[in-house]
Amino acid sequence: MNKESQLIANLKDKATQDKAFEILLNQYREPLYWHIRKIVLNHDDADDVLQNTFVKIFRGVKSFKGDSKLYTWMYRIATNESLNFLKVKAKKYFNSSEKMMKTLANNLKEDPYFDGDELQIKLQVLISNLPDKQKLVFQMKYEQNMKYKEISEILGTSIGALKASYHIAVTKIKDEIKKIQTF
Amino acid sequence: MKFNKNILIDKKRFKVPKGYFNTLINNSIEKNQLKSNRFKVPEKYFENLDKQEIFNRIYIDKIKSLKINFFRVASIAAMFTFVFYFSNYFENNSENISSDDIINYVNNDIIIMGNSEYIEILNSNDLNYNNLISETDIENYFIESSLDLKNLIFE
Repeated sequence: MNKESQLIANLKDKATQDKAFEILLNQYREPLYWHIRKIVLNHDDADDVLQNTFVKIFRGVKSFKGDSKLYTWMYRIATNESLNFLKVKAKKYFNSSEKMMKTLANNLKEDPYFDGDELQIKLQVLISNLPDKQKLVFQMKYEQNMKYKEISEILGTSIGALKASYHIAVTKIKDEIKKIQTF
Repeated sequence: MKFNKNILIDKKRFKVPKGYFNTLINNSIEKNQLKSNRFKVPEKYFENLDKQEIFNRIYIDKIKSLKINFFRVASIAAMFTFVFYFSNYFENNSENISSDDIINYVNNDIIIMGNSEYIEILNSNDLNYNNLISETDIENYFIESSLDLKNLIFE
């Protein structure tokens, strides 16, 4: 039994559940946080989504069959939680998700937990304009340096489709830049 | 040489070539220069995020779901009670009760009824004057029973 299988077994066992969850939390809180943060942009939102993600992981691990790797399964939960969070937020406070993402990206200028320059903010605004799938692929591939195989397992999309999405995303960002340059 | 610190520096004096930042983005994307993480977290955020915080949230969620379930069950129970009560109410108010039942009820249970209540119970046939005993029958009754009418009045 490898480490991951042991951890899953411990998470399913009530006697060892608490300790195993602590190990899981220590191991994955940071990578999952950054994955979520890149999607929701704001720290408070990321914190909220991260905690919800771990609640779902804790509850769902009993029914985790091990068809995929544990971290892939957790990333999938984190991704879905983030996207759902944004949907609810857009419905609650904004007319459309595009409007919300633009606002969130522009708010980075005043965000105390973001110290990027003008260049970084512009890139975030451009990424925020992309459709969900392209945005996710771009963030996971470009910013988190994930392999296509890993992204494919998390998003449940074929590698070919992911490559196409990434290519489209990069082209769109470049085109947007060209448009701005012509003004 | 002394500088006057009160003189405001006009930052707008400094310009960059048109499209400078955008060209930088374009080049930076290809060279992966923008990958550096500019997002920050509060100090000791990850250290402070412990399992207790998650367990608290699980506990709160459990209470919330229990509350929701309780209200669901309570509202369904209230609905059933309401339906049951009204179905019985309408059944009891239907005209299935026989007159014998009413007579037995009145005889067995001492009920003091007012005139208005008697009027409600009686229908127009009950007040048929043709069924009344004639005056001659009454006179004959008194004669036969040898009762003195005057004494009867005084009694």
